[in-house]
Amino acid sequence: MTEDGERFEDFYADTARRTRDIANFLAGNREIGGDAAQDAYLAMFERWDERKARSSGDNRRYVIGIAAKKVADWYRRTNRFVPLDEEGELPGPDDFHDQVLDRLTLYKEVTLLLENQPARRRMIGVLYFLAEFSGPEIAEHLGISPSTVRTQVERLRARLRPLARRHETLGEGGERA
Amino acid sequence: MTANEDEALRGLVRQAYEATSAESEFEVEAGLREIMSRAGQGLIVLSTGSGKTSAFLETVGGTPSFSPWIVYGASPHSENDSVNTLVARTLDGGYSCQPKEGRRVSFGRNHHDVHIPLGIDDRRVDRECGELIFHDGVWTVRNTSKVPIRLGFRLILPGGEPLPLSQGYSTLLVEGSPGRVHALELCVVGRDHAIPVARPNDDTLEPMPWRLTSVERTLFVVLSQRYLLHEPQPQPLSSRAAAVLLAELQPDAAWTAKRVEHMVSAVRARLANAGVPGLTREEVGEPVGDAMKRNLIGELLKSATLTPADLELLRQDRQAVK
Repeated sequence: MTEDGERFEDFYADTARRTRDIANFLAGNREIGGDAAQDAYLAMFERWDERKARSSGDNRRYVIGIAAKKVADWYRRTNRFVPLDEEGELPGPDDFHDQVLDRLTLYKEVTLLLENQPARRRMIGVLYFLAEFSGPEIAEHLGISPSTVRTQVERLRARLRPLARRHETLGEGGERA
Repeated sequence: MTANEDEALRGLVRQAYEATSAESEFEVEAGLREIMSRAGQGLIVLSTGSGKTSAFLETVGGTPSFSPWIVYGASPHSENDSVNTLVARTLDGGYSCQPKEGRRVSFGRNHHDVHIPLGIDDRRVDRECGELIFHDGVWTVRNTSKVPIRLGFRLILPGGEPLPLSQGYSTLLVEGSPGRVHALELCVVGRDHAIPVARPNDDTLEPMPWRLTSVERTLFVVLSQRYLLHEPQPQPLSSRAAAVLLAELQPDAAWTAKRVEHMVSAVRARLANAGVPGLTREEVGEPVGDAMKRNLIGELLKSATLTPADLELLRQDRQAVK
């Protein structure tokens, strides 16, 4: 970082791949996710003089927030960002494979659990558990109420808990050789 | 739920995504060039005007030829004060933007996504309220939100055609939560290249009141008393009601509704001949209704011809108001 703050191209080089991955997970679609990430960096570039003095982590969260909003806007435009109640419930973790073969299978199950959620819940889950945004931050970026975020995070917690317990078991020597 | 549990779940999700993410085909350098290219094709770059952004563009092969969007300082002699430069002010700051065909400047609540933040703490304000576009040598304003925006005495309706901004000063008003209106002040620099300067010590220009006879003044105070009393959504009194009230005040003056109407018409014609707009049937258009009378009262209030102090006329001794 220079005295005037980090250069935009350095920030981009350090964070773009990770942001793009998160945007892809948010969108459940590489094309939409990739476009959202690029749009977010363009918006960040326009504000770089204001933002460059901030920490890289702060700016990374900022740009992920913009990308999340872009993805949410895309879903709204295509009428796919509907209230969760209208989308019906998807199978819970109990409906997945009964047996966890090894750690990679468990990880795959975790990503599948989030990827198979309706668009809005998936985005809430990715932002909360992967990008580690707070509930109010998610509400602001997605333009939804904090109580909706809390409700959906709690539902995801309930589904992730059994997987976390299995993960702990693997860490205690349960993993296959 | 505990913080520890969330931490454990976040750790699990993070590890899961890191383990299962396919090697990305994304090329960072190509992505960066795309950003620069898009920024150079008509998008406005926010900058403090330090020139660093342009220098950066040159280093990454971008096009530094576009003019930066600068934060407008206190100096009235901005380097960007060429003809049709757009200067904008809100509570959150000042901005200026040089004209360029197709250039678009958006405004609204979402300061992440618009060029000019407006009403950022008011959820009644749309994330993006509207856009200012430079096209064919003229800045236009278009409403991209769901509620009308006021431009002077006109309403810019959602989804309507863009309205041209004339050179000089204008104000956009966006209605927010009850009791709040958010102002976006705009100035399109004209051929005199002048951006308005601060004039803190100049004398205040006084309004020019119209001359009314004492009888006319009493009549118009009666007609416009709801305005002078600051009633919400005031309307003029009807000629009949005004005549009744005037007859009580001046029992010897033989007030009738017809006399009220004649006197109002005479004053309206006088002001219309002097150039006040909106006082003739042709200007107002059918159906006329009360429009001409309301416009006339509006002009008398705006010019400070009538003020709340005139209400005293209604309280004076009847004999004294002849």
